[in-house]
Amino acid sequence: MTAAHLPTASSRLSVSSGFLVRCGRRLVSEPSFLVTGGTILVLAWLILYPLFWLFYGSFAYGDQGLGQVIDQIRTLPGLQRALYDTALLVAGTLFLAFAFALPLAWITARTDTPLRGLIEMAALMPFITPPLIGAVAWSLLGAPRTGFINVVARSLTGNADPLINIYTRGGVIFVMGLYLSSYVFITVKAVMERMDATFEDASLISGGSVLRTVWHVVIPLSLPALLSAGVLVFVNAIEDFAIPGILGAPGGVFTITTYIYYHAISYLPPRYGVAAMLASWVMLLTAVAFIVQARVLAGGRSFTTIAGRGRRPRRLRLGRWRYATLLYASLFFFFTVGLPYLVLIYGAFIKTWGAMPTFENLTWANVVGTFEASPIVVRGLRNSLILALGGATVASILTAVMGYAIVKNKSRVIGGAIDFLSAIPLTMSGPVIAVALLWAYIHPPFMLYGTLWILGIAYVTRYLPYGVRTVTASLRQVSDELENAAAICGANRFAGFRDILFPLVRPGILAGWMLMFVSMMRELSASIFLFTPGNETTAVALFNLWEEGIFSYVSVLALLLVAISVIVLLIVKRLFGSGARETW
Amino acid sequence: MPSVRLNRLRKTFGHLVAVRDVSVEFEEGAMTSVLGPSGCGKTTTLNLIAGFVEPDEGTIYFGDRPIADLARGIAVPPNHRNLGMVFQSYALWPHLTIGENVAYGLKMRRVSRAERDSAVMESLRTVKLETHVDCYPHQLSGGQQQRVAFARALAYSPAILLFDEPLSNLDAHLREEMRFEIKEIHRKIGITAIYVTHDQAEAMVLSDRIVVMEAGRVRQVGSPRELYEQPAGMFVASFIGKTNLLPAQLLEREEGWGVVRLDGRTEVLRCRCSINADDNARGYLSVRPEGIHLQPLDSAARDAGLTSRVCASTYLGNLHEYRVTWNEHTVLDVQQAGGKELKVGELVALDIDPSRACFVMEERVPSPMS
Repeated sequence: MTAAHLPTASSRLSVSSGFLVRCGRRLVSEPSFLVTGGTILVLAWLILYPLFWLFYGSFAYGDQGLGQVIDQIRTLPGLQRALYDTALLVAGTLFLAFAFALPLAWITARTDTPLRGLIEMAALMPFITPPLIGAVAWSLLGAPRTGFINVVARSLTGNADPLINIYTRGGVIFVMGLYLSSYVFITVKAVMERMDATFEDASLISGGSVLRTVWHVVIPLSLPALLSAGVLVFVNAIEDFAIPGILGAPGGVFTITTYIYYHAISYLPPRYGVAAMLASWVMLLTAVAFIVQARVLAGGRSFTTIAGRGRRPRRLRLGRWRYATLLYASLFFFFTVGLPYLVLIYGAFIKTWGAMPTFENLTWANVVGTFEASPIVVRGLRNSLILALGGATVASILTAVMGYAIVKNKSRVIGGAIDFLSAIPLTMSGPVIAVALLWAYIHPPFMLYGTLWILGIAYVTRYLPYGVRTVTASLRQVSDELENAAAICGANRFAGFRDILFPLVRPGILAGWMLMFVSMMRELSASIFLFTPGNETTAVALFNLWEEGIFSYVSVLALLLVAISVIVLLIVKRLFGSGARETW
Repeated sequence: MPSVRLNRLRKTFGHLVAVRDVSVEFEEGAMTSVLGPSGCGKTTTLNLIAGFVEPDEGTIYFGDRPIADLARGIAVPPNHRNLGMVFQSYALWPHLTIGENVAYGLKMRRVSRAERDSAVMESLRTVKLETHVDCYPHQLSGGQQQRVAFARALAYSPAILLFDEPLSNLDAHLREEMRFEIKEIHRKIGITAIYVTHDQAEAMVLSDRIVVMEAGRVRQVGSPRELYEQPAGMFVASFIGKTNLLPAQLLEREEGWGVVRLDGRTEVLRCRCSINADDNARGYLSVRPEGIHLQPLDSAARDAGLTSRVCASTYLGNLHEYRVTWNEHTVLDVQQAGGKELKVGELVALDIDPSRACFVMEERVPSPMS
């Protein structure tokens, strides 16, 4: 018996010692192990440390139970109304964003409306134009007394009552709906384009009417996309500061985000505990939205629409109606881009607000004045460029390493952990990150509040998930065989990365960089909570000028913000994009 | 040109045993196929040889050089194994030209520029693509890409060449052409080559020897002829070529031959028997379609042992394919070259050629879970 047992025991022993040998060898031979370990530490510090302080802060304030939460809602001045308004604005925005975008998506993807290419660009313009600039432009257009539309209307009719008032719930919903509709457009159009016509044919052939086909086939198939778009709009509507801050606050309309700003952070003395509590509520709301989305998407409703045998969807012939659809698209373009940019250009170069834009009424003085009048403009531009260039670069390096760890790591646990950690900021919108960082970096050992660093950290944290998504997407497209082929040819891990993997994912990294750069350039909803005198960003400066009511300077800076973003993107694309061959 | 020796190799993924207890020697200078249905562990075996995965147990030797030996802490990384490999997806790097793709292995070996260029051209000439040196992979057809992958693997004269189902993405016509081309090139350079495939015709055409795998185990190793004529078990018999399996009992056995009695019959038949089976063992008689001769009953002697009825007939040009009823459960596939055409419904006498019949037993199929 003993003899029979011996070989078993010794083979066990050799297995376990082999395991140890393998682990040790891997630590030495694969520096990626150290890199991934470091990445996890950095991520934990970036994300978990502030999160701890956020919840500590909200507890420190006495938010220890449902009873106390209800108590706070009752006692804090205006909070009840702000919550009510938030719900109203988010619901209205969701409705309008879909109402605006669904017809546009359908028009561009499934009809023969002329100028579809232009319409598509128009539908994406709100995406390129930051909400801040839309908000500023619409306040210049629709403020009850000084708004351009009302000034013109008054001079035409002589009636002193304003024609429109944008500083209302309706105004906020209208502008938010316009600018968040891009999310819906992008997602829904993609699905409509990929949806295989054979699905529809199958339904039509089995005797379904067009309406029944839409109801039973088209809508169920697009449901996951509609849900994703809805979650994006929902989250952005809650976290956006610019539109409710600029268009809502003057009329006493607050969302939970602007409430945190006006009634907690810039309140004297600041109520950091209230801010932490409300921010943790926002975070929970966002998290719930994403979890619901993940649940539904995981429930087997995958995008089978793509799997069809590659028949392009037919375009509906609209006949004469195609001019109606063109008109609709043109009106959308006019309200999102045409009118706002016109009023900004007008404001930037007009001598007196409300004057006719004739040649003698135009001037360069506003442009010069913007820089001379207020030091925060120059500071803001400088800070924004430093933050966006540096932040996007640091975040790109981080996301490249993280993406590699997520996609290529042999250990699923480590890859999964990094994936999970890097997705957490998705649920932390701008104000949440800001309040969390505020709590985290006001205390030792990291006393970063009052420096540019805290803004940089906020930006990197906030946009990390977007960068990670772009990088992992392009990494996943590089099959393991390409890397294995390099190894077979004699390339070590580093050479394989340098010669094969990196060149192949470079376009993805570059796309991630550009996305993050643009987002950081215009960032307001975290910056507004974190800036201190001397550390203003362009968006903060813009908001400041707007609060001071200097419309012409606001216009100049708004145009400048867009121009700088575009110019930097063009330069970067020129410098780093040319090496990538696009014709694979 | 070293041989490749696998000794008691085992690899599990979670609870799934992909390769269990595999011991094979791939002879030096020969082309050996690893053949099996999907999921049999052949690709994992190749990945173990290439070094993309490490074995849980067992050893790998290239000649006398240990390549992977867990107990001794040896695991040479793929880039130090001096291999060439042709991948299923070709795995050409899309951002490099054909020339740069082929040159990469030489570059990693720090070969001088001039030597590199001439080696690249020679390698491309071997696959008749020397005019495409400055193209990008996406500008070539699938067959051409496959050749480039081949050229890339040859360029730096590796010690061993690995093929991972390289022809499975090509259309049937091109596939047949490439088989002969690969065989021809291999004959010229005489490198130790291991060729993984699930296509038995491909394995038969290309290889000197075939390793048949199933469920993570090696079922038989042999030349194409050995596998066809003397299958070691029921799986090999039915996987290599077509066959008819008839339940039978082994009566006696000597030196590769045996005598069996088919179930439900009284006559005894002579057949091949290459396995170590006890007398009276139960198993199957594997009879190849061309090993059955049919004769119209009226012309044959009435006492012919096995009679049957034709139930389907197909004319294939060079041969006739018949299906005949054996009993109510079984029909036999029969191929006849030439001879008078038999009609459906006709009564026929069956004559089994002992050299085309082999007694086999069912292999024990281990569960894929450990």
